[in-house]
Amino acid sequence: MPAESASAAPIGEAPPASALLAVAAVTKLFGPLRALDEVSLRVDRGEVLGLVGPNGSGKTTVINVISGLLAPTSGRVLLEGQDVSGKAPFRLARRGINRTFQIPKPFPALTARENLAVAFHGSRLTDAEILELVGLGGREERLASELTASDQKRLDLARALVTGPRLLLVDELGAGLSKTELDELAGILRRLVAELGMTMVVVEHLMGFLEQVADSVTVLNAGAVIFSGGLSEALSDPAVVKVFIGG
Amino acid sequence: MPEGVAGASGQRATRAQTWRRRGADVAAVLVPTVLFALARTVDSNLLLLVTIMVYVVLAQGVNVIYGFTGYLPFGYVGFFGAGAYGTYIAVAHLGAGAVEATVLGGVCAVLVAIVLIPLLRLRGAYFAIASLAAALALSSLVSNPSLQSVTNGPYGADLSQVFSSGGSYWTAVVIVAFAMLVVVVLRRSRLGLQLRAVRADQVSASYAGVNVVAARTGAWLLSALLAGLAGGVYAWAISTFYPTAVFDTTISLFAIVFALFGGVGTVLGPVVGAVVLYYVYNAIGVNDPQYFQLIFGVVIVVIALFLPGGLAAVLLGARRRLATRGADAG
Ligand SMILES: Nc1ncnc2c1ncn2[C@@H]1O[C@H](COP(=O)(O)OP(=O)(O)OP(=O)(O)O)[C@@H](O)[C@H]1O
Ligand SMILES: [Mg+2]
Repeated sequence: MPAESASAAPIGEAPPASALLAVAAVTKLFGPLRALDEVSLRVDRGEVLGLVGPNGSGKTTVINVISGLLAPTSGRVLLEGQDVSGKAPFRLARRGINRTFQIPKPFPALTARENLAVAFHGSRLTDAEILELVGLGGREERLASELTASDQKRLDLARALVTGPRLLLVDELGAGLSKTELDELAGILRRLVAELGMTMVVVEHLMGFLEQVADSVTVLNAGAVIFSGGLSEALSDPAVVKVFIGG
Repeated sequence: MPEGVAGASGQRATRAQTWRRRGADVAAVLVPTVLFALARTVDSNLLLLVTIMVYVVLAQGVNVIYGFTGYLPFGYVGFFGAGAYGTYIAVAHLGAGAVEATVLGGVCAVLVAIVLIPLLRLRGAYFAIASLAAALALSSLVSNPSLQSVTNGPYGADLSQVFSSGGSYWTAVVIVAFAMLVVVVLRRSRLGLQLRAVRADQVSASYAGVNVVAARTGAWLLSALLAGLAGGVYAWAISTFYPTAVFDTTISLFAIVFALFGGVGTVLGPVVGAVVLYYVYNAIGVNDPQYFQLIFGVVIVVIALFLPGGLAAVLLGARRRLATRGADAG
């Protein structure tokens, strides 16, 4: 990766160059529903941010807005200080943002290998290495529709990795997996950060999983950020506790 | 046996597969081309042969746009008519030779397709209807008396100055070869794979970095080119024609039925569909067209309800069943 030059924008205008992603006061309306309400986040290069919140609090919408599937109603998404709000997913995929889906969306009639071959190739790893990395080695020629739910999630992850993301958005990869599979997946995500220098936003309900991968967390409730900081502080924050236990 | 043989033979197997695949691709282009080239020795009705080749090319064009993107172009005849009139204008006004004029007919259809790119924003029935409306609009534009100096308006086009039954026949053979090549290459190409992905899941394809609009536009322009070339060579072969003859929506209908009957998404299906059904039409339909349209209507409904993969799916299914039965027995 080429060295990033520091932003020339005046201080206070753009976030510091170390912020790979900044979400600045993003609001997203679906008709009358305020799915996101002035959400702001910052993720530094190499950082893993956990994104938590009750069902319907807007986690997936945050990922959809950052990755270009939805344009924000107001506010901005900045990648390395540049406004990328509302750019189409294929453009952002080529610029280094990719995501996995809460419900995996592979191409069912294509083999695992073809699922990756379709993609824009921005990774320095080969497709075979990526399939190996996510634990799909030996299943290259299987049709995606024949894979188990857990393997479809791996394939979803692999397809995102092929594009060589600097920022990977992971939407509930852990849901429905066994403890062993969860630990394996956490290990994979940690390797992506340590060995490929990836930055991540990880949406997850399972605190045990987040403990293994996240450096800090942001808590959403009803579309608004109610906490940003360390995971252990979050768990002792009264507002957060109220949402998760009292709500 | 020395070590490493398993790996080597595994590799040899895949290399054999690659060669078999290449052989099949080459055969898919050459066999129909050679058969059509030889056809004149058994059937001396060259205009009939050209017409069948024209439908083979049109069915392949439907294959490209419908088979790869799911857009069903009821107005596909618009490109055909654009090709026919492009060819006429090239001969009558630019003094082009017939072969160049046919190529310009293809270009003319591509230009029309470029203008119509916004239609690709529509889906399903809306697209089908809008494409039909566009073809009708183009037809009335071409036949407008005020364009008499360009298209000769409703009075029809005359290409008899370049008439050559042999020339148009051999050009049609070349266009068939080209259409087969387009489908074979598209199926093996990255664009073909991307289009399959877009058909399966547009959102996932976009995240895979596929420019969905560009990929669909590529298929749209290619299919227009095929229809334009078919229209051009048809115009050359029939020599004189009215706008209604080359903008007849029955042409769209036939091309779609032939492609669906043979099997879209396959290389040979549309060829078989066009040849078989056009011969049937020629044998019984020309004299009683009303019955024939009824029969074709029924064929569309039956295919849509029971045979979405067309003839090709039936044959492939039968082969697979035989193979599994063989495996069970053995
Ligand atoms: N495309 C859409 N159109 C209309 N409403 C939507 C759309 N997407 C999300 N919503 C609504 O926005 C709110 C936030 O949804 P979102 O999917 O972001 O929540 P989430 O935090 O990911 O929930 P979960 O934990 O169940 O996945 C919900 O009320 C949801 O119904
Ligand atoms: Mg969600």
